[in-house]
Amino acid sequence: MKHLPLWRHELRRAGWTACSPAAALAATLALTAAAAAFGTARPQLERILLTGLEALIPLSAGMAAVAVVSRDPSRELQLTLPTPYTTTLGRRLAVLGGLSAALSIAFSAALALGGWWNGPGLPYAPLVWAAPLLWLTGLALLVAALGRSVVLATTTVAAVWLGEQLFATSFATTPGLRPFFLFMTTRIGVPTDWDANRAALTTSGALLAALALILLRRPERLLTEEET
Amino acid sequence: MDIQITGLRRTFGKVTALDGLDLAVPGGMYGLLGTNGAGKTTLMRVLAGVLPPTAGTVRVGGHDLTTRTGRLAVQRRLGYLPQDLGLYPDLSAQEFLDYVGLLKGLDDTAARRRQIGELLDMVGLTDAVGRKLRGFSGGMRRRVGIAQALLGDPALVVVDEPTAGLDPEERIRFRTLLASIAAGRTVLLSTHIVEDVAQTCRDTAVMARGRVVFNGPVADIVQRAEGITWELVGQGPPPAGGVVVSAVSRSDGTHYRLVSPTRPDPRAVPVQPSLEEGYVALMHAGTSA
Ligand SMILES: Nc1ncnc2c1ncn2[C@@H]1O[C@H](COP(=O)(O)OP(=O)(O)O)[C@@H](O)[C@H]1O
Ligand SMILES: [Mg+2]
Repeated sequence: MKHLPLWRHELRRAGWTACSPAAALAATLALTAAAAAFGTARPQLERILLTGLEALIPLSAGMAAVAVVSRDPSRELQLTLPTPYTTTLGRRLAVLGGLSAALSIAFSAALALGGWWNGPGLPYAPLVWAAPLLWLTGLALLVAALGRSVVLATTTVAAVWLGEQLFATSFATTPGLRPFFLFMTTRIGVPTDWDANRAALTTSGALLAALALILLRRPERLLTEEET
Repeated sequence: MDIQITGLRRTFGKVTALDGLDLAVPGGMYGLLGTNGAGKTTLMRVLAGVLPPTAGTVRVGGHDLTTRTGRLAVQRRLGYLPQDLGLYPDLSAQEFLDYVGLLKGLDDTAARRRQIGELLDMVGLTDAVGRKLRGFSGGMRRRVGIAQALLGDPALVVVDEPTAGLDPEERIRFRTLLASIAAGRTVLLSTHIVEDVAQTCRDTAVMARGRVVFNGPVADIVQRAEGITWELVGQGPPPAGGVVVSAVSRSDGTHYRLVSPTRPDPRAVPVQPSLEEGYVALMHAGTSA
């Protein structure tokens, strides 16, 4: 493969950003261990583990995506190179997405093997994390591309995430919001419209990401001084 | 590669950074002098294909920079050192250059490694090749910057204020390095330091407020101040009228040198101008025009 060395560089260059999904997983395990130490019942523990997959790993991926598009000390140089900068951004996001996916799949498999899996049938397991991950990442990319501010983008993502957690009941009961309820699996379970919810999140997430990439094609958007 | 620019305009909202600029650069090492805000960086970004012009035509080596194919054709033969080149702190010089080389399309691993070795040698970084970039000094970073610009043997090298912030020794060393790479290619050096251009370029353009106000041999800039440069020894505050270029305090008073279209004081005597005074005269003529 001609571009293999470039992928290797991206992996190496990503550094700590690439580790954030792993940090989310570690936090989940720590939380579960702490809950178990306090004598929490098994179904609750299973739900905490599933929350790591559906909520924490996607949140960390969204935050890391903001860093990928907002912080690049060598950006101006790369805009002058024959490789389009959006291709490079795509590669970096793919590295992030790939690591998150690999981690999520491994974690799901470990839960299933250990008998701790409390989600949909295993063929659908990837949608538990992939749908919210794509949606939060798409939102993060769009706000980062629009506002060119790390603080604004991460705050928006965190606020939406927290809002959906705090007002889970409203999201579950309002017909207009239910398709965009990120945490349906952990907060409700697998109702009949679960597939529809996952499909809505996936398509709208892809749309947000596509919009962001179109915006990022305009170099002027990237060249003005970055806010912090 | 030669550069032909006519009527180039670039605006950012209400700010006009380039205001109908005309410039022709034949090749070799060429200076681009101008004060901060003159529009040098904007011009270089247009030449590097980063910023599309608002109006005007820009041709580099015959390629039209306003088209996608033209831009790509130029970028394949371009080396660019931005004014603030950020480096990835966790990479070594070798890794960073390898990464840039790949993005430039140098796919042959052995050839790329060989070229990186030669360039690191040329810029004097062989001893630091494995060290992480976070520990590099300003001068070392600039040398990594020029090494990456030269990857792929570009026909056009554009360097934006590469000597800013360097100590005098590093500055001299760096501009000598720049001059040494100019054989057989076009090197466009932007700077606000007159001396950098005087020591390395035969020809230069001078920019002010988004336009080219002078274009020609560096030595001709001096002529702009002939007959309007004065020296005056005074005790009090600097004389009004004209631009004071230097003020040196001696036992008999303060020796002022100033550029002024009229004799600023009956005691003032005309003197042979320096390059800097020529530059000041040029800038000053631009303001009153
Ligand atoms: N991305 C930008 N957005 C808004 N204004 C800009 C931008 N880049 C440059 N300018 C403005 O254009 C003018 C020329 O700037 P610049 O090209 O950086 O000059 P120089 O490099 O000679 O100091 C300045 O007034 C600057 O504020
Ligand atoms: Mg500048």
